[in-house]
Amino acid sequence: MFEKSLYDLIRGLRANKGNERNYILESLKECRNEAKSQDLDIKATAILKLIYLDMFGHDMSWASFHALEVMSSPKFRQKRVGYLAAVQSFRLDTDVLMLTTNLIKKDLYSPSVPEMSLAINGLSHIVSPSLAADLAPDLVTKLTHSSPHVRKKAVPVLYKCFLQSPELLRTCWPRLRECLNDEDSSVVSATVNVVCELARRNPKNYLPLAPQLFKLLTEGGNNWMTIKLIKLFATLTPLEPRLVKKLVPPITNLIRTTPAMSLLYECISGLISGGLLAGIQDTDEGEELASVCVTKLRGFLVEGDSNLKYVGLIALTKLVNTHTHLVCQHHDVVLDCIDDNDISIRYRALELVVGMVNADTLSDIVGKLMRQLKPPSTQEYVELEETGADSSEDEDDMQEEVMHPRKTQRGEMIPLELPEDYKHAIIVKVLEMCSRDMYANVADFEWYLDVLIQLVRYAPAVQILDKDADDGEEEDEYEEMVKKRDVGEAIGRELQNVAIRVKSVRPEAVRCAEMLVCGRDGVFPAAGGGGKRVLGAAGWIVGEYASLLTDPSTTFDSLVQSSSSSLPSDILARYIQAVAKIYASLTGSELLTWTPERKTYVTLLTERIIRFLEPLTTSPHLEVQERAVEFMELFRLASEAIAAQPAAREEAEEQYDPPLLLTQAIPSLFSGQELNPVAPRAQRKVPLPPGLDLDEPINPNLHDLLVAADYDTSLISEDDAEDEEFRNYYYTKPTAAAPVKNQPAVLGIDSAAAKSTASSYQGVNEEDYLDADILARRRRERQERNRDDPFYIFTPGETESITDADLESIPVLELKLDDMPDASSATTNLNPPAPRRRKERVQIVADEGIEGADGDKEVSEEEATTSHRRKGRKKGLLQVDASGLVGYSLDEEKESMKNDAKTEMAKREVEKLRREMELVAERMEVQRRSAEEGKKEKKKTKIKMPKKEEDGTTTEKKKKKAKAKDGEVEGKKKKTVKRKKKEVVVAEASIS
Amino acid sequence: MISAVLVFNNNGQPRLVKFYSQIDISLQQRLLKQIFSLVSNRPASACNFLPLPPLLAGSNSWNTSDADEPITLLYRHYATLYFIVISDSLESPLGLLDLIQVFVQALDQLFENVCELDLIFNFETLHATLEEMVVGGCVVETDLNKIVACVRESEKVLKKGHGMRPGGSGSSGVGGIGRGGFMGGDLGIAFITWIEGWVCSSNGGEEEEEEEEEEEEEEEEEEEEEEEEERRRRRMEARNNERDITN
Repeated sequence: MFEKSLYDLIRGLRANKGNERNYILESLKECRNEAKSQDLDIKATAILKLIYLDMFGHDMSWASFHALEVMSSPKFRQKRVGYLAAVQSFRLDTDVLMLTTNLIKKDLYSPSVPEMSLAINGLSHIVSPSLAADLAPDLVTKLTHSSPHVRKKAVPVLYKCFLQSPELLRTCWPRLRECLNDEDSSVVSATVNVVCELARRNPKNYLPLAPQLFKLLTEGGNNWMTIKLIKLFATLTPLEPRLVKKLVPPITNLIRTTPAMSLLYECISGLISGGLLAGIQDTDEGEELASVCVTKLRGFLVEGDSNLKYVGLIALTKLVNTHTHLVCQHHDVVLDCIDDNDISIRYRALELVVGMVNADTLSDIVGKLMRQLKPPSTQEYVELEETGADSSEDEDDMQEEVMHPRKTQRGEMIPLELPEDYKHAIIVKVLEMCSRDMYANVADFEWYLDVLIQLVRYAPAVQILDKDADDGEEEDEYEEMVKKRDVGEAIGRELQNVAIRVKSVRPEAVRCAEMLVCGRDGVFPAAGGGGKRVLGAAGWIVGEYASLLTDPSTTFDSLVQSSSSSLPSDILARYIQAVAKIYASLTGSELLTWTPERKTYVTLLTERIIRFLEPLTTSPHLEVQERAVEFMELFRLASEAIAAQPAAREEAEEQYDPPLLLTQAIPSLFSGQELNPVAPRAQRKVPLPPGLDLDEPINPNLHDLLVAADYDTSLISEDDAEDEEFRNYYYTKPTAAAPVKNQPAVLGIDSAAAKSTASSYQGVNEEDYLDADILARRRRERQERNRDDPFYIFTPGETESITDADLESIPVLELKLDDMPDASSATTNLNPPAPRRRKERVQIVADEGIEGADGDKEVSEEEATTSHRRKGRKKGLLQVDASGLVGYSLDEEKESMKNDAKTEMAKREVEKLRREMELVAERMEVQRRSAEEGKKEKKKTKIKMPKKEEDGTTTEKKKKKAKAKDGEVEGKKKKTVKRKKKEVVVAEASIS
Repeated sequence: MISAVLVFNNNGQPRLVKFYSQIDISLQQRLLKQIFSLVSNRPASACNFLPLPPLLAGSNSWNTSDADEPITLLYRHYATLYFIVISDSLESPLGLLDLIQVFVQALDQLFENVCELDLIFNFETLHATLEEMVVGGCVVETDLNKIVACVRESEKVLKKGHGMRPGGSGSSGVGGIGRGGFMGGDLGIAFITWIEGWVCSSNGGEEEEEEEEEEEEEEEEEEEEEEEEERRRRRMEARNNERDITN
């Protein structure tokens, strides 16, 4: 049989165009046979072909044993193929992995450098914990190999070993550390690289290296290494603030002198991410350095290279939180980037701009962003209409025209089709910008409401990722995903927030919600069905503030129309609630007399509700079903009550009151205290009433009841219908169930945000992003508002109203400087609103919580834990598992503490022995003393004796004898002590 | 750390797939497809940073500031080939762009005028070159000359044993004729007219026709090739001077 070479395979693939699948399968079959061949050459060729096909997605893991055979070939050519196969296809669970140990070990000691580097590189891909443990010592010997080529490759592989078995780090670290002094710059660079990776996991270990690394930094050299060193220091500085002072001069020097853009960028980025700039923020030096950085970054943005623009924006985004004012100085170039042709750059600019907004720039930036959302076709339409039919442009708008000459070529400014993702991001960011710090930057809430409505119209189609991935998706899950993806949800939340918090514009907000609910079909973009989820919030608002509705009956009609039932279940549930609320406000008035017309009207309304709810009582969604059933029964009762109550004409003598159920019972379900925003954690602070055991079942026979209910369903519903008291008890204030989603709590803001009298501060014309109808209304409102403003110059169409006004009647405002609301104390806004604007106090209701304080600490703690949990759960696809190295200390003491129990026991034993020894020693001492005393007595007697005997020599002898005796005793004592000591030593040795 | 280095051509066919962490092969292919669809839609003037494909991004494709370990995905486009590098935040993005440049330059020197076919038929050398530069995700060498020297040395060892197949195409006669500006990225597409074979395309016959057309063009262009070559070298030098990180 003639074997195909790789070359033949590739040519064959080309020749079999259109039929590759079969050709590949056939080739794979051939390879399978060839791989079993005894001839290593054939085997190697087969493996090579398999590697090639592996690249196209044809798994070759079945050939791992053959790959191993080829790896062990003595020929370099075949060995290389084998190692390549291992690198590309072996995984941690490949079973032949354990057979590679000796092979790699052998190759590591190969006399040929290429072979050795094959083994080293191969190991870097396939290393497993056991391979790491077995081969790390061999790798360490490679750190001192004569060839720098081997040394530099061995260093990263050691890191890979550490990842697999962290305890190796401790034994290998001293040798690895020496590599920082290597004479070859590549080896040092590789080592710095590895230290940088290690330091990310546990920076504390590498602080002692700081002087050495600092020396490397100042000596300069390879740009790659310098970049890594800066990154490394950025991870070390948070632990050692003193480093900041030391690092600033060399890095500043690098920024000023380096010709390499990448190094310049990394220096700036390192200064920011290492917290260096933040660390020296208050000093003059820090301020100067920061401004140097920002100026350089501006250079990145205007330089023309799109890559530099991209990274420049990233760096500015990091900086904007600490140095907002500096970044804001470059407002102009950043805003240019928002309109960049490159979508990547737009995204970055968008992210940056969120941090940059303040009260002055908000409407400008929001306008700019929204202009991008405007579809080109409607844009033309609006322009035509405005230039033709409506020539009465406001004066300030005209001025804008001059300031933005590009407006004329607006169509060309957005040549590229924006991806829906990007539109989504814009809307989310606009909302984020506006709602930041409890609407600190929003001066004009009417404008904000208009923006919200416009955003609904611009809402992109909802994209479901991986929708085709699993077709058997549950409807609920699908809805859940739509909920997450549809910006309508977020817009609705904002609408709801404004309606609740800002009482002064509540009627406006209700009007908006009304418009959304009624004009459902005209409001939303035709394609894609994006933004529909705003109806949830809108439905809630029209219900809750039903008294503020301009046209309650129309709203009521749109709510109960049959198409509503096709809405997502949670929105539908809110609709049911809203219908009941509007009904209550329509019919609940006690003042109106109960005339036959009224009676028919109310009967009609009730009937319509019942007809609306009837099909919903069998809805598969529990929430909808439950609410429908409950309200259904209530309205049936109401309908009975209405029918029972006779009506009389107004002129009739006998007047009847409307049924009590209508005027008292139903309204009382919904009226009561106003709903206020409640802090998310307020519930937790409600003290548990004494005697309430939440774990105790309310009805111990619940299970039996449920079983019984299964058999006798009719019974339950009958009971329910009858027991109205029961129902009222459970359904007082059901509105509390409507989720009030709040922004994170900030302390009460008594915002002194001003309302703009004129829009001259705006950089963008409103008609650029708002639709014609919204604009027309705005203009009307503005005229209304400015009727008394002497500084307002009316356009020709409106001047009639004031041409004949005499000058005397123009009110002159008296300036009271003390009267100015103290903006700085009232808001967290750093930039006080421009003084030329007329101040109007906009009250923004803050979250309610128990005892005022909401416990910020608690919040942050909770966030920390959740984010930590998230960190643990989410793992990137490409992320290397380095959890073993996180917090792994190089010091052994810490580790040994882990064997606490053992050590403790051993220590106690040692202690016991020591005490025993001491006791023995003491005893000896006592003995010795007593012996000595005894001797002394003897001596005394003996001394006396010579006096008696008068014989000097004998005393001398006896003294010597006594001394000898003494020594003997002492020797014995020493011996015992020594023995005890030995025991202690042995015990200690066994412990260590 | 570099997580992956990928090379694929204008049709999304892989030419080099190297992951520095162990990933399942089907995932690799999916990721490749997603990246290709991202990269192929970009205009030439756009910057070299890519948004994250759905597989890598999870829920937030752009809010890299929120991510625990932000991932950088960057690419360079040379004539028929896209070079992709995926890395974490500890690598310098601009540095990596230069690294791709060095990689391509090294290949260009090794194959004495590299074109896509060289890389197809010598993908072992392609791997070897990358191994000289990146080991286990760490950049170990950025010096062009050292890289080329090391690869050449191991090729020499290769030839010592066997002469059955030359390593570099330059010496084999599969010469890199007919390429215009692999490095420049703006000239024609490299083709070798005597090889009727092209590598399989999973997406049908459209490509074939296109190629054949281009092949004809290529013949016409052959006369201009020397000029182009000259231009290309000059441009390459200019590039090197412009932003040279390696030295």
